[in-house]
Amino acid sequence: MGTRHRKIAEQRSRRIRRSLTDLLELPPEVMLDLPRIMLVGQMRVQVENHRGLIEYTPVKVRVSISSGELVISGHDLVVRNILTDEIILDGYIQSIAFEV
Amino acid sequence: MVSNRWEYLRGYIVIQVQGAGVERLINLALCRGIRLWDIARQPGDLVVMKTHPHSFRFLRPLVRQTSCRVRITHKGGIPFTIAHFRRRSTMVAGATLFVLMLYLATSFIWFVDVTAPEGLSLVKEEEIRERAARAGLRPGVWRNKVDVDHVKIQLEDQFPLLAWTGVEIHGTRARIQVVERVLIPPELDKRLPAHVVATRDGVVQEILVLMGEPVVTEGQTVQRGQVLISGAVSPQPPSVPKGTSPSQPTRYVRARGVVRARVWYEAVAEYPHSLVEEKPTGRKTSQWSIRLNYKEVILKKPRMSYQAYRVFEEFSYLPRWRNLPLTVELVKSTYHEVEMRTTEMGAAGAAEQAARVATERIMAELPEGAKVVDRQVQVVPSREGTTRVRVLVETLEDIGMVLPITPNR
Repeated sequence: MGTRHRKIAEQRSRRIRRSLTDLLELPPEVMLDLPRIMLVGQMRVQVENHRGLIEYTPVKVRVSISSGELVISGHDLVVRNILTDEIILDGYIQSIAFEV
Repeated sequence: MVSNRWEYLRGYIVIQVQGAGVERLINLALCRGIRLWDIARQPGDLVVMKTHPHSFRFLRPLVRQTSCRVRITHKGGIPFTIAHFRRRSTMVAGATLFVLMLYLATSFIWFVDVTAPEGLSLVKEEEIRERAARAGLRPGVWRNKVDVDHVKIQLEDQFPLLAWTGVEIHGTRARIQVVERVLIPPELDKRLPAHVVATRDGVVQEILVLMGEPVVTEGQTVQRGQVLISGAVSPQPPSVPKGTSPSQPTRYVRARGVVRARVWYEAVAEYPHSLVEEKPTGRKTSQWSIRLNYKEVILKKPRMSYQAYRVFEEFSYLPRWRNLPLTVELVKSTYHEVEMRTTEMGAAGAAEQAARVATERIMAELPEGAKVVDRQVQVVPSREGTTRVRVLVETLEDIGMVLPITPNR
């Protein structure tokens, strides 16, 4: 009962925030706590607003984000820089997938 | 992302982490504010990354927590390089000494060259060298101590036979350049035998011989360079054929005389029938602008409503620094109003003007003492709207010129 109530309340608050960002034309990643991902061709991906590194191998990198995980596959992947809210990956990127 | 250059300045260490919980270590380091970059997985479970040297101390407990093993493989950047050189002070001292010695060595004169483009025949090179050394320019002397002007004046005082002396210092080499005076060649002496030759083409009008033997007669056409009065005098009167008495040799004298001849000059000139002239009205205005690499920014626009004008531009530059040309200049453009005036003079007027121009051109060419005897103006065919005339001027002038001869020629 309590969890259901909380879930409904959460969904409502999310809806309100979304309509507010649309109304005020604010960048959604700021209001909704979403990752902002920038790709430079196949050679670089920059993920802002991440939650940490889950797995790192040269062919697969999993990055924690607010709504689950971001799975970046490719080869020769190198973490060029890692900061508290930003990761820069260099290498040969083949796919980026969202997993819940 | 922080640039690699900055990291190089701050110094960095390369560490090798071995173990399963590398990702956890990275996340923990992030939380503690330990910066890691260039993280790359090597074959096996080795991960290589870079961090700041002072962060390594804080990384240690995290390593233990995540059951990894860590090892420093490389230290790079300026602080480590400085530390490295601090341990090798002798080498640094040696390098500094080398640079100092090199600088010191280049501040002396090592070579003194004496060059004479025209060759030396009156003055000896050793004498010049010795005199320069006494004036303070010799190998081994300190470069700043050499007073180039003093050396130059000393050399010129000492050797009056030098027409020009130049002293230059290029690096460690001093160059003394000298040119000797050219003495007047004896051929030009006033007493030597000579012919009188023609300076121009013409028809001989009258001939007055003071010395020598005339070889042309009055009314004869002569060419430029032709001998008029010969300096080679035959021992017999001219009526007796030459070569009949070889016992008496030919005498050589310096021929003198006046040979007056008719000479013709020609010039062609063209003049338009109507002439458009600009005449300044005296009104003017100016514009100020800054010019930068073909781009112009106008600071003050001119106030004008002129139909026709002429522009004069004055440029001001900033002083040049070293040899870099500055591309910024301040331009003052002055607009002078002009009036266009068309003067119609017709074919006759144009012919007159053309004749005047052509005659002036001939008069400028005439030698001193030439007397104008005749002037003819002929109209020749020309383009539409212009008249072209040919002017012929006939003069009576002395065409003789003394040219030395060598007796055996």
